[in-house]
Amino acid sequence: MILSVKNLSVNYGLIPAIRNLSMEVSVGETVALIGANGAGKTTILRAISGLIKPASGSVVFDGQDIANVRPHLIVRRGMSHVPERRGIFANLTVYENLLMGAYTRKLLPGDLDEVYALFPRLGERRKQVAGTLSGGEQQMLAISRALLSRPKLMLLDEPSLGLAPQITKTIFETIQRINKSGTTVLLVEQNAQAALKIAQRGYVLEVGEITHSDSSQALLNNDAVRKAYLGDH
Amino acid sequence: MKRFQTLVLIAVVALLWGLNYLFEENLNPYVLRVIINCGIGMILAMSLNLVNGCAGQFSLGHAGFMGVGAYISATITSVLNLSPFFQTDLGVGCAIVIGGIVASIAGYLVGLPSLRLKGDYLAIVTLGFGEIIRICFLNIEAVGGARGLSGIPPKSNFFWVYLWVVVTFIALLRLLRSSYGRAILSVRENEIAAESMGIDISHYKVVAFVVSSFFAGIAGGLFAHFQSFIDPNSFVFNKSVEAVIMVVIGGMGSLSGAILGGVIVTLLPEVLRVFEQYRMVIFPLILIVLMLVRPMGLFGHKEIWELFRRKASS
Repeated sequence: MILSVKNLSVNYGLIPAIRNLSMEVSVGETVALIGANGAGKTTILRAISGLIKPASGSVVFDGQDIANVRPHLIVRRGMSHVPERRGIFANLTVYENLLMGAYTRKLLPGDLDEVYALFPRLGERRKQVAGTLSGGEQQMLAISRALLSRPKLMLLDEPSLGLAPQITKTIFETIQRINKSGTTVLLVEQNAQAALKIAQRGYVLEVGEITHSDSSQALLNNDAVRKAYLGDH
Repeated sequence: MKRFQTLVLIAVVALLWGLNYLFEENLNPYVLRVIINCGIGMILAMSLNLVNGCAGQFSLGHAGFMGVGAYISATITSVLNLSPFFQTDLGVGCAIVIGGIVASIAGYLVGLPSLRLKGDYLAIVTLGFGEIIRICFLNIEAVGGARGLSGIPPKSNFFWVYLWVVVTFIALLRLLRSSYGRAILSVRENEIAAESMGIDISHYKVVAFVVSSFFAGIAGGLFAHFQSFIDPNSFVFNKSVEAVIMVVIGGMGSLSGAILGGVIVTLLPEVLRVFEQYRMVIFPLILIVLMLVRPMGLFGHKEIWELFRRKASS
């Protein structure tokens, strides 16, 4: 078990966003967390990576409780978070963005080549200012940047946000490849279909609580889930 | 490469020394005064650029740090009577550095609230801090209170001021080119993403404030030992605004832009003296037009040499 969240609650001011949530991710898995707008998907990721403090509960990562560890230290323990809307450094070049990704460790000569092999587009544009990239390229950059900290666990927040279906497909295929090469992935998505296709297991989140938890196949076939998230009537 | 850099540095120092001699002999004292004021403006603008332009923290209290540097260094050289050493060129230099160090401690104290505040709120806190510093000096009789402090040894000449311009420029350029500098830039770009890269954003915000106020303190010390008189009115809110204008005109985050901004904001009011009482109408008008034409500042986020390189290659 690389990540185990137990009885997690998160409040924004007085308003509870997440209530008593528990979930687990095993080493090597891709786990999808799906749910509608405002269900609390992003909040959970942020609580896991330390960007917001949970009100109660525990987050155990790699055997240690990290619920109150500051986010930049969590990165050093081997978790990296691709934030919602990508969060690239718009005024820095692609190359500089990638350098920041390797901030916590020494960049080895082959590291960037590896990234450029994963996304050749980034190699072509390494001198370009990142803000001028297309949405898809920015997502590629955000994922590559997160990869450069050599994470054991990668949190992805809506990688398909605002992307054309074709590019979404490419991005998801790459996530699959990243997972196969040994990085555990926790994926938050509104695009449930795409997410469940590459994930082995999924959690369905509704207003701060998990309502279904099953293998991706079972979730894709579950009537209630299909109705709510897969556009089946 | 290292030896080449050392040689260039020696050449620059020699050049400044020669120019200093030349200017003092041949130049109209008024023109020389303006040139020296430009140098002080450059240091002020470059230092503020680190906080406002690079780290993206809007500070409106830069005159306060300048005041700390000015008052501390002037107190050492002309109030405390420690030793005749502090009347010499070197002694004044030391006093100015001490002033810078004390200013950076003040910068640390102001940097702390910046960890919790953003944008307008931070601007108000730093503004308040600048005013508090000024009011403190106003009420300390030992440094002259409202009468100000006079008889400061006038040791800042062209050579010393521009030597500090060079030192500031090299120090900040090297800082920005390092991974440290990139981390500061990433705080401006996106705090959440920076944190998820493993960057301790609180640390870098405070570092930006400390380094920035050190050089602002140096500018203050040079200013005090140039004017040989300071009073609390030298460091009013207007002075902070002036520094912000320098940074904005040059381009947020551009070091060479800050240098140019420092020159423009110092020089323009002097050049416009021919318009007499309309001077302070025309000056802001020029600023407004400049901002309309180039809202990102003269150089934007880039440095002057990058602008030309880009044009040459495309």
